[in-house]
Amino acid sequence: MEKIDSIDTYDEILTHIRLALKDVIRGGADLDNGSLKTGTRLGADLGLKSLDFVRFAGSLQRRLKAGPLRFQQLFVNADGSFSEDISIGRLREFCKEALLKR
Amino acid sequence: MKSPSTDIAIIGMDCIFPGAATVSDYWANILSGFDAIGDPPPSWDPLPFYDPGATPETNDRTYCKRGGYIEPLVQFDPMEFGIMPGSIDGSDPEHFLAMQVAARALADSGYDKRDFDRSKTSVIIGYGKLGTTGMANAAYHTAVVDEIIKVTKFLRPNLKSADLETIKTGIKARLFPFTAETCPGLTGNIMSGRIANRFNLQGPSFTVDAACASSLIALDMAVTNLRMNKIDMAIVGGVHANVLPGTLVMFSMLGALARSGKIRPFSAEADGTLLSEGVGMAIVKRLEDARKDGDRIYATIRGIGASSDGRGQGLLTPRLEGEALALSRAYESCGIDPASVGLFEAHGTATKVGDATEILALSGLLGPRKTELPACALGSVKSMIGHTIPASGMAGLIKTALALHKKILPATLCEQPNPELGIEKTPLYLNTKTIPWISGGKTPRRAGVSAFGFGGINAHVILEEEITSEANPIRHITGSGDIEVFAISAGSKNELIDTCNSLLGLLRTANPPGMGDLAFSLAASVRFDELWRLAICASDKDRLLAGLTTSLTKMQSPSCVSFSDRSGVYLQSRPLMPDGKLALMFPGEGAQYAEMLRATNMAFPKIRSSFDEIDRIYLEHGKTPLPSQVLYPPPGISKSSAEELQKLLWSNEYGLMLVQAACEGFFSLVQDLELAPDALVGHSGGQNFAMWLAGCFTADRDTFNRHLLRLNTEFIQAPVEENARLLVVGGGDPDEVMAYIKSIADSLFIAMDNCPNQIIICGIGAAIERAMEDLGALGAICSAMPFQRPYHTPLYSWKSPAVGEYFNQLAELFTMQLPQIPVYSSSSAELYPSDLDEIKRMLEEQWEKPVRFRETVEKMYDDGFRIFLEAGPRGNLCGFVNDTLSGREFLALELDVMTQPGPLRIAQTIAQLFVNGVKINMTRLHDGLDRRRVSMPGSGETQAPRAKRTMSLKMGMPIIDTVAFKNVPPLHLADSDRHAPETGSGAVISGIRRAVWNAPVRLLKSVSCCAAVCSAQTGTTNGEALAALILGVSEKVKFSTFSSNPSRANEWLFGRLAAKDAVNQLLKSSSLTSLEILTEKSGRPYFMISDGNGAQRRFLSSIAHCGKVAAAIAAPEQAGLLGIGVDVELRDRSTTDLEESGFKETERALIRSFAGKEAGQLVLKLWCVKEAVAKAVGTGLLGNPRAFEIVSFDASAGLAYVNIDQTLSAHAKRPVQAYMGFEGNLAYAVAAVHERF
Repeated sequence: MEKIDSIDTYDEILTHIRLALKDVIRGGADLDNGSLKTGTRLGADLGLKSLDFVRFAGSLQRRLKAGPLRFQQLFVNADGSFSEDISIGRLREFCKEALLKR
Repeated sequence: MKSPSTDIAIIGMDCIFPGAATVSDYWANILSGFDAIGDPPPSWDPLPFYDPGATPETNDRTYCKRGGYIEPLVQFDPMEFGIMPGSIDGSDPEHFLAMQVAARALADSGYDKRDFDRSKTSVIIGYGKLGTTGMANAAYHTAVVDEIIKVTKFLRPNLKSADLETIKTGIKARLFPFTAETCPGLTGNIMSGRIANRFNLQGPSFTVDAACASSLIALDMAVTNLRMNKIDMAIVGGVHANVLPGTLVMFSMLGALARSGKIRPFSAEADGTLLSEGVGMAIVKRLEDARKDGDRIYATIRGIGASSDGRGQGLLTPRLEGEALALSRAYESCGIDPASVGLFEAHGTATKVGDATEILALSGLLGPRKTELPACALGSVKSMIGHTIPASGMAGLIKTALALHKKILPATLCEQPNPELGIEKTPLYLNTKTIPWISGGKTPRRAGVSAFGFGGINAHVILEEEITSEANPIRHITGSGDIEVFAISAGSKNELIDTCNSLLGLLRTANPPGMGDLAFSLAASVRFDELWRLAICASDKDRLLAGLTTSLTKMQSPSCVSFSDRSGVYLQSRPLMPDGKLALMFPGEGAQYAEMLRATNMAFPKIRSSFDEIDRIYLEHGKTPLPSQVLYPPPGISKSSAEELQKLLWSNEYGLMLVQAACEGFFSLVQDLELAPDALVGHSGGQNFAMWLAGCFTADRDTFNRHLLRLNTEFIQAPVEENARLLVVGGGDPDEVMAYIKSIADSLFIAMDNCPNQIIICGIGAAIERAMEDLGALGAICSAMPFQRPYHTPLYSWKSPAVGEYFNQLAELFTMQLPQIPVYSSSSAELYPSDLDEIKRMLEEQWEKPVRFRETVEKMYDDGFRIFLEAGPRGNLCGFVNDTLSGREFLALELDVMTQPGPLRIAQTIAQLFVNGVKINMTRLHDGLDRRRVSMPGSGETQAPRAKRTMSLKMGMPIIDTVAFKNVPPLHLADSDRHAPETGSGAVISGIRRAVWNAPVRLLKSVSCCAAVCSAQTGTTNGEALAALILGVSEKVKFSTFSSNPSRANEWLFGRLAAKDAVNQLLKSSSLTSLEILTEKSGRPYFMISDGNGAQRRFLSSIAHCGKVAAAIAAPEQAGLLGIGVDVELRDRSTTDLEESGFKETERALIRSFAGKEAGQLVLKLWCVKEAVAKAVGTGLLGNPRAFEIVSFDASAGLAYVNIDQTLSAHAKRPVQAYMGFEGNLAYAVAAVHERF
């Protein structure tokens, strides 16, 4: 597992996201920050399925070393169903807000 | 006499339609919803036929030029058909396209190489004479060119006969040829005769003109002849290969064309039709013969009905009774119930009255809708290709025959159905989405095709699928975008690199092999004892080239022994097999999703047939809606119906059946590929299915499915806990999550332990709400399952009456035996034991026991399983395996995921199975697809095909090319004056002398100005022609007001020409038409001329005429200059009247005292002075020349002073100075008015 240590900027969060994605995407070795755009969607564009979302969330949470980030609020709709998809931009925003609350 | 009811088979087809050069392109376009409508091809550019403002009265322009044009696709090799290339141009291109498509259709049927009774084979083609290129060309040669010469002679009377002959010859040389050789190509019926001639066919061959119904009427004639045994086979077609401007204008005048440029039958936005080009051909013969001869049968023709409208509202207005009669005659002819038809390919022209009449006719045939959901798809291929008029019936027939053959309901392009049509009240739905045609009915799939023509001719054909006893091919190809697996094995890396390089070379040759042929050939060549394996998934040559290039690049690295590229390229030299084992996994309920396997079911007929089966069972049990309707809801249904279907998708009654149909389909694919699993494993309800596949239940598929339906129905009735909810829990620290769940074990149950990152818990009411909150705080992600059945918990006890009864019946229905393939139980995380009683007990109890899938996978890994292939929808189980075995060496592969088209996913999985050493027969993917082995480079077997010498066919209208005039000397307007300005247009108007006029310029020293004069040199001037050359748009409008007075018109024109010549001297320009002369309120002319930087500059002007002479002066607006004036008179003009009426007594005395006998000439010049001054001040003489009084003059200096009556002009403070003189036969005067006056 690749490691980085700080989470100060959006770019650093994006790097954590990328590394967490590489943890769960088979054949994802070619992912780089440049290939992840704000509008890139985890499901439709990167092929993540619901379980991958969860694995990804777990990996990201561990990488950010900030304790539980309540990804449930991001990935689960109000009616309890799993969110269809999420964009990198929304994910990065969520992480930033969650980290600021810490 | 009632016709014999012999059914007729369609055994071959091909076509050229907009956007589709072949029938496979056509079908691929239909499936992808490709809108092939566009603008006319570039060859139309010279034609001024288009005016968006054209009205029904405009008989030479169309308001719509968009349509379906095939010219870019048309290439023809005359030598292939023994036709002399010299006879092509100038003939109607339809002849050769018909020949080409007929030959391809015959080849498609296989009878290009097989013997058949040619003496009893007909060619019958629907073809209407709406104007053709060849006949237009003939008209040009025989009449239009002569008319052009006549006009040229009128415009250029000085041209000699030899010049005119040169022009004529030049024009004709640039037209298409019109020779004895082209004559056959101008005769409609020779189109069919030519085909009969080429293939030596001696059945009756002819063309049929029934307007838009031509193709189907041609088919009717062929079918009749076949049924009466007059012929044994027929080539039937429809041809409309050339939309011409005249046809467009005709439909424009009728208001039938879509102003929107889109053709959308039955749509709320439909605003008319669009014309298009196309050729379609089908080979038909008696069904009995076709079966006996082993022909491939696309579809069977069961019935045809035809009618005329009789006395309707008009020849161009469809009549409901006429259409209804054709429909009813078709169904009566064969006794088929219209309700059994699943697809209507409508005529659907997108005209308001046409669409409405057709829906009324169909609703009359079908009656009102009696069920919640519509049962019959409605469509029209015109939404994609436009209206091919006589070929339109064939476009519909080919589409529908393919729909029946491929079992697909193709989409029609429509954003919103027209609510005024009331389609929702009929059993029809406008099918706007391409979906698999799943059918479990007692009757074969059936479809109707309609074509209704101008003049009131109607036809309807009933088609039926051919159900063969032979196995279906594993997959259908669309001809475009089909994913192929290109598999290569090699004994070493270098050998693999060599093969890749050879393939690159082969693909880069002028005639590369077809992708399907190449994939098949490679699949047939692979060796499983060779460890270096590469597989590339690609749909076309470019992607394959990219895959090979990527592979070669990566393999350059010495350390590269394997890679897996997300684009579908896989290399492996250390395969998981044969040392590892392969397991097939089957999911249970919950794996279903809306539109599951849509693309897969269209591409893999055997997979689709599993869904046919469950539809059949539901139909037999009288259950509605059908599973296929739940899976693929008909477009356009109400929101409440859609929501109800979505609920049913997650119901016990439908969910597991749909999942199982998918599993069964995938298992059949696995079997077809000859893949042998080492074990099976099912998840939840998938366990029953795994055991059935393993042979544990000795029931056939039908019995098992019926049993499953009953089981599910009874489950619904089981008294299970209503408040139970299932929660998916993932993420967070697994130990923390598990500790929490165990802490409240009295109210929460673990239903499924799927993998480290997912467990399913079940709880009652508030407990589950609290768990969701608490687990979320631990960083877990909890989501609700879309159903509430508490499977795999004590709440679902086998002791419940329904479940207990089910297992009692299970024992009665099935004989059980030990599984023939090892099966792992996800309840025990072990293999099922070799004890039938124990197996029964485990199967019964599994519903109240948790699923231990994580442990099962761990166990299987420990037992040596390394490849886990999920043969079911969605791919959840692969996710569980990936999560469970993360970090270890294994492969989990899905045959379906929600985010990827099914055929691509299947191809990528097959590719990965291959590179990992799984023995799989990839050649089976090509069964029934007529593949040919490709010889690899260097094998010495490659035989280059004969190089085709294709040529374009001359489509569209002949063009008069002005190059014919190139040897005619350019004719200047003032061709006798070297100093005359150029016309700038190279125009050819004779008899006008134009000259720079320097005298007034010299006299008016205070003004920077220029002057010009022009005069007619011949007796007659063609005003219209001159106007066209020199006038701007608004000037032309003004000119048109002189139409009743040609001499005034020419005088006015000459004045304009002189003024423009004058200002052009100032501008050093030669422009005429772009210089428009404007007029002040007073009538004084002026120019406004752009300086090129957006600023406008004003130029003053004055114009004078006399007889056939005009003179003008122009000056740029300059400080203090208020106006300029010029006048001319013929020197020999009588002055008696002028002296009397135009001069005061004091003026006359002054003249007489000075001029003596020369007084007459002086009067003339001074008259000009008055006129010039009056123009310069901008008033004109106002009928009162005496108001402009000559107060003094110097005849020898040509100078005069004029006092102006103060009531006329504010400039009358001082006398105005003017200059006068003679120039040739003219007297003239010029004046300039300055502010200082």
